[in-house]
Amino acid sequence: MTYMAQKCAWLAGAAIVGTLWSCIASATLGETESSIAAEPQLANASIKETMQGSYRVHEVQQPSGTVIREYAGIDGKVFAVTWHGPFSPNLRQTLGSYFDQYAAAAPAGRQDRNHMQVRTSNLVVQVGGHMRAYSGRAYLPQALPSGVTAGDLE
Amino acid sequence: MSAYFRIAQRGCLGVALCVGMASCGGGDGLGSNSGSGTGPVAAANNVVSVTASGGPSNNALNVLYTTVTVCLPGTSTCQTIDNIQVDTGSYGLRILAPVLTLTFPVLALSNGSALVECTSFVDGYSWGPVTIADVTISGESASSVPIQIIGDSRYPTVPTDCSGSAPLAEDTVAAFGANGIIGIGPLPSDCGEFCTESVPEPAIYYACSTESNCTGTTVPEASQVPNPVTLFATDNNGTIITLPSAPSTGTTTLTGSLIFGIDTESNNASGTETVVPIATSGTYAGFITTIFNGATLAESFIDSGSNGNFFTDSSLTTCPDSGFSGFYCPSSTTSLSGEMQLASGTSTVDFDVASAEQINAAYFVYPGLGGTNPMPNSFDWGLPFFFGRRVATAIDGYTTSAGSGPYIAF
Repeated sequence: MTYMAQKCAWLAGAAIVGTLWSCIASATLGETESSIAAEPQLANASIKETMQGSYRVHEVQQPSGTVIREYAGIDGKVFAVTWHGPFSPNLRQTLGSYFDQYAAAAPAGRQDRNHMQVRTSNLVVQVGGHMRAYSGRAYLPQALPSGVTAGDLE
Repeated sequence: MSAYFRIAQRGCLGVALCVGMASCGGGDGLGSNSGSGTGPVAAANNVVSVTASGGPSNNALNVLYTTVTVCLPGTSTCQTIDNIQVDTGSYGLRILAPVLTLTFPVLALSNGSALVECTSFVDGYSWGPVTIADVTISGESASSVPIQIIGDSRYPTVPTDCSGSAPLAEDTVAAFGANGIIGIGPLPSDCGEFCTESVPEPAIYYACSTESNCTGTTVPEASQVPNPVTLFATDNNGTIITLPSAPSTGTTTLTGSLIFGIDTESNNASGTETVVPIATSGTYAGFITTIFNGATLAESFIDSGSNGNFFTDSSLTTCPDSGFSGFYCPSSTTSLSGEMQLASGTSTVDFDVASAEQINAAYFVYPGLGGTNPMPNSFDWGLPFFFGRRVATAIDGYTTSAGSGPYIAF
């Protein structure tokens, strides 16, 4: 994985500054926006960015139709990612260093192919769907900005 | 470790009952009328028995299985494989390599590379070549069908982006929970037009020039792994699953029928059933809409491959045992209902939620199994929805007397 040195200016101030078609590619769960990942899965993707209160959202629309949203706090750290669409994203890239923790904690031997939930003190991953329709969210509960709940992560 | 990992130390009770049930299927002739009788229908060319049982590891819960015969293409060299999961939530026939005694030829792309697939389910990924087989199920046959062989030693190296698509490797019978899976959902193939022109990231299809040198590739639709029903000469516009109802406390096994075709034979007439349309375009393509607790859930689906009903209801208690993480454990069985959005109006569906921790260890069928749904906009009606119903799945691009696919009707 390579990283783009480019870094976008923080949109300070107003609660909702508006939508910006951004220079940013994307970041990975737990990493900072300065370590912007030029992820292969984001090639040809369209990206927009919105400011919502104490965090901002990068929304990436992949050519396949899958949408990945990444939530970054005031410290620039990505505290949550969500996705939905016809194809599963590359979770190893999207979850970054947390992917291995997710894989290790995922319960094996269930007969439920279509939902997965991992909930630890520092990581929550919830995924659902079926072939050609996937949806999920992952967040770092200890890093959620004040007043932000899992329900805000859509 | 999940509570559903029931290790095979339960004695022979489950196995004995499974065998008994499988041998007594068929016979009462019900099912030609919608709404009323459910359960096994009379034997016919387009009917195969299906059973919710413990499966190959004798530890399954609410998983529906059937039997499929695969033959080397153009020959009478065949193998019949049981414990194939019946899944209306996916597309294509996939078989675990360890259960095969035959070696099926791998599909070659125009440049000579082998076609190998990464199938992502939510819980795991399954890697293996696309091969060609003649497929027979009961009296229905299709020739030269692309099917996936999962865990095939000819292609042992899983690309890292494939293994990054889901948390668990599912390339053994024990991990997969079945000898294979037959995806008979409401679409004709497992990827469709997008994969003919583009490669998603991570890829679904790979061109392998050697056993370990694989890169993502586009694939013509005819080489994609199809819903095999679409390749039958007749009875190819959809399927009907009939299952008897199950007692609320659960039961050992449950046997019904999978009927091929809709309005193509005397045993698969549509009648006056409730038709739930599936969106074909836009953000919610592939989904139905369910209204539950006042919320309109536009990413809902009806799926025999889900082992419970999965939805969000904050008034229900989730199970305290970490092994039941995500499942509901109400102190007493709770009766609920949801509304299916129809083309015009809605239809109410009642269902029960019972404590997942109260399942009798000898039972493989539990209609009250329910769990939270990580998708905020979704209600997943799983196999319990099929109990006591006759559920038709009409495939996109085909029509029946009840309408144009894709739809689900019951």
